[in-house]
Amino acid sequence: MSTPRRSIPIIRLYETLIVAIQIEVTDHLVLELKENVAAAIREQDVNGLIIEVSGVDVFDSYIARSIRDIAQISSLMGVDTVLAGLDAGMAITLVEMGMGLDNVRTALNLESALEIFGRDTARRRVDDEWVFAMLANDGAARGYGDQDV
Amino acid sequence: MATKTSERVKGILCEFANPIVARGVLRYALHQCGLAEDDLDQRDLTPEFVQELERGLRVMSSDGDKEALGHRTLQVLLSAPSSRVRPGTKTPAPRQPASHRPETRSDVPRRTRKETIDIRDEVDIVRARGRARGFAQVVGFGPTDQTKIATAVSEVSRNIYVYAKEGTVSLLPLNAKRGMRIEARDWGPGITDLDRILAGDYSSRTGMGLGLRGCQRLMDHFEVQTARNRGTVVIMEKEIA
Repeated sequence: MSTPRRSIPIIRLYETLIVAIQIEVTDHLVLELKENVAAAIREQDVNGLIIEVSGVDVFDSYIARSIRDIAQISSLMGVDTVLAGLDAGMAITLVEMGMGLDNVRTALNLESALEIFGRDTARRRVDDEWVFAMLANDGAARGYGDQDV
Repeated sequence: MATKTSERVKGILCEFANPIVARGVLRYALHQCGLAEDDLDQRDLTPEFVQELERGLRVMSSDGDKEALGHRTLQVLLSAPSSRVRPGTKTPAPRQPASHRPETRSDVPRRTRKETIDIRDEVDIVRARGRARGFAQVVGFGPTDQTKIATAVSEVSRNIYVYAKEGTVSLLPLNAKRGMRIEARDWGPGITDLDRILAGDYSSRTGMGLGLRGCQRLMDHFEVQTARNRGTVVIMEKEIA
């Protein structure tokens, strides 16, 4: 049995990469996703990765481990991962199987996940503006000082 | 009644395999034919049933000579006249009152007949878990249990694909209770260190230990029969709570 070659799309929204898994995932697709996400992070300037899994049919040990790997890879590359949309039955199944998704941040849905990064981004913008303002003032102050002397 | 037919069959199987394997082979054959142990006392052993016993022995036996002997003589031994098997009961035994009869296949919806999925390709893993979810739904499991069953089927299917390349996954309704049974079968290298895997001392590079142990936790009944280079059978059952 062969199916047409598909892959899981990686979408960029502002400074966040979104991976919405909406097809039945084969092991090969998950492996491919791991590499593609790493490549996307390397090529694009992003601060967050959201993996939306409400469309995943099954979260077995292999898929769970792969998601954890992706989160770890992203983290090593300086990007936080949020897992969004994990269905209740799958959460129960994961726990009963004894597989946690340690160190992976989670959100109920895509919207909450975006809010997490939005909040981070907003806070960083405020921080950045404050730094710029301070530098500007400092420069200006020194500028005046130079003129004075 | 004298000794049950099932005990006699088990005794014969013990000539070729150890008692635990013998019991497993018998239970497997019963399930393959949709029979309960008591059904054996009601009618002659069918060729289909004997064939399943043989297949079980072939897969599980670890001794080539004994195995060959088994093939030749099993048929003879089983068909030998015995006071414990009623003679000439080709026609079904008289029907007992409905309340005393174990639940038979006609009592479950028609769509929950046995289904077997061949595992040869990675896509078959996805197919198997999809079919398992559908089967569980028809049997009457709720969404969470459907997910658990689909997950367990995904695990055993992957084990077949990764370690044995080829095999089958069968889905069956339980006979006496509401629930389903999953049988994953392959003729691959077998699992060494099974005890350690199930005890949690070991997991492979690909994490198989975790998967099998996970299945054990998700299911009500879980057993593995495996022999080096003769394959593996994983049998799992889940009842509707």
